[in-house]
Amino acid sequence: MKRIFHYSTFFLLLPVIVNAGDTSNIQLSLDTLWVLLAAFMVFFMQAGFGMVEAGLTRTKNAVNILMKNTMDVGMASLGFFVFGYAIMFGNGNSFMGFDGWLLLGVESDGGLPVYAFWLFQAVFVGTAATIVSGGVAERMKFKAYLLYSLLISALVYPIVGHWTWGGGWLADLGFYDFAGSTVVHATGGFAALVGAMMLGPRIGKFNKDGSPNSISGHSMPLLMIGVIILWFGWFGFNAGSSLEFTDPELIARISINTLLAAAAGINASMFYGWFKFGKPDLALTLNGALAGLVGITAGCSVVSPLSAIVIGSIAGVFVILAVQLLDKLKIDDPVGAFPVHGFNGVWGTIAVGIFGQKSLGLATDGILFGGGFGQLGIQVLGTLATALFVVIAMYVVFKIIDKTVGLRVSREEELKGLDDSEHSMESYSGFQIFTTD
Amino acid sequence: MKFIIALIRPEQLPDIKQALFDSEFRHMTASTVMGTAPKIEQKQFRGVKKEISLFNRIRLEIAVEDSKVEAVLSCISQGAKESGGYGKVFVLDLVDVMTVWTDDRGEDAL
Repeated sequence: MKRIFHYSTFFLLLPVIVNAGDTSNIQLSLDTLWVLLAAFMVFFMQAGFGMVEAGLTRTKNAVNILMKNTMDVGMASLGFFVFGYAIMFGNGNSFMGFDGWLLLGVESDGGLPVYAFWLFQAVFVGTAATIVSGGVAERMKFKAYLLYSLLISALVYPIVGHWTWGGGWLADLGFYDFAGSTVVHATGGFAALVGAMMLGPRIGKFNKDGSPNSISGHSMPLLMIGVIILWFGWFGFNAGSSLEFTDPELIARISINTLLAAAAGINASMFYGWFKFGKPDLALTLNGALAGLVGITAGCSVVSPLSAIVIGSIAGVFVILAVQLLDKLKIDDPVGAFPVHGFNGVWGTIAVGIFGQKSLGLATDGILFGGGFGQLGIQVLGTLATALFVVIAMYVVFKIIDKTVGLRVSREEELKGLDDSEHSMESYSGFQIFTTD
Repeated sequence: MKFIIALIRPEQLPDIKQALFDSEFRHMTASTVMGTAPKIEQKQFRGVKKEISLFNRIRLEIAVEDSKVEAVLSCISQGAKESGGYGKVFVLDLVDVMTVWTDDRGEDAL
């Protein structure tokens, strides 16, 4: 055992040893190793999304939702390579960038290799794109979804990304979104909301009098493993966003905040749901973990662990309130994509202006630490402007898709299930475990 | 008393159940079964052909008084036609019924 550990350590550090000539090379190797490892973990979150969404939908649509999740990786990676990176990080104006299409002419500047940076950003795009599949699940045409997936990855996400991370107007204002509560999660969440509203609810979700029915997901074990995979990947998502391995205190703080916020999220959502509905509900509790994670994503680097617990707890309650709000508004979001990513993406971003601390790296203290309303105002402006842009852009995107290939499957196809009607395939062939109710 | 067995497609269940509920027929049993169809269907898995001769079906069982048979049949027919118009219904004579909870027999037990 000891020897195996010895050899594996050697291979892990090989790039460092080879470059051991001067310390800047060691630093650069460590930075690269860190960012790539984090990118691999974020990539693995696709498995998490797939399992969560398959678990929360019905047997007859499991192949379809897995197919959509799979093709998000395909569309996001290529779309971001061809168009997205140029729009997000190319030289341009404060709205969008204009050069670096197909990564042509893009070179490393002696710091982190540009391919490592690109990969880390590309897996983020995939994350934002795949959030939407849950909100539009069980009724959106597969063809329409492919078009959507390409358009959000190649155009919509890169534009809002440019505003905050590519030197755009929000970056100039001092808007702080460390790992993407707004850029990734609010973008995905609000796109899901627009999609869910334009598609309309699934057959049977609402009664004639407008009261909501629950449509149970088919596998709670898949849901649970999916959430834990996402939680695991989130350590890479947040801690990797440092984009360097120079400040151990920072990386450690981000990691502990990531754990604590999600832990607070499951506690809050479980107890609040238990109090409200009489029983501890596994699906709502697990939604609370994701809500806590989304909530801490913007501020994980600049808040204390105690603040992370407060942010995560509030997110855990918010997610249940948002689920009920959607039911009241007759919007059908099968997996809670908007409550988790949209609502709490906004909350997490605003929380930076409340709980953020100058001593931990924020430009000015949040209001709880005596910094006044300055940062809070910028946070509110940034997240609402992003949400508004996403809503308008996605309305146009979905409208175009609706007019060309159509957004929604027919009633008969929906009742039959998208696995059979779109893919002619069963998710559990040989098991007689399906109903259409 | 009659025992009605309807064999329908899974996607027809919501409409048929709704039609029965709307006419106050609230007692039924549904099970998932497999049955043949007039045609053998060609499907593919990983690009390779596969013949399907048994399809997923729902078997709906309803026990009613003689006077209500026509009403139940028309509910089933109406619901089935809203969702494709498929299905086969069998009507059998029912000899006796017992409700365990009350020990009621015959029509009282329906």
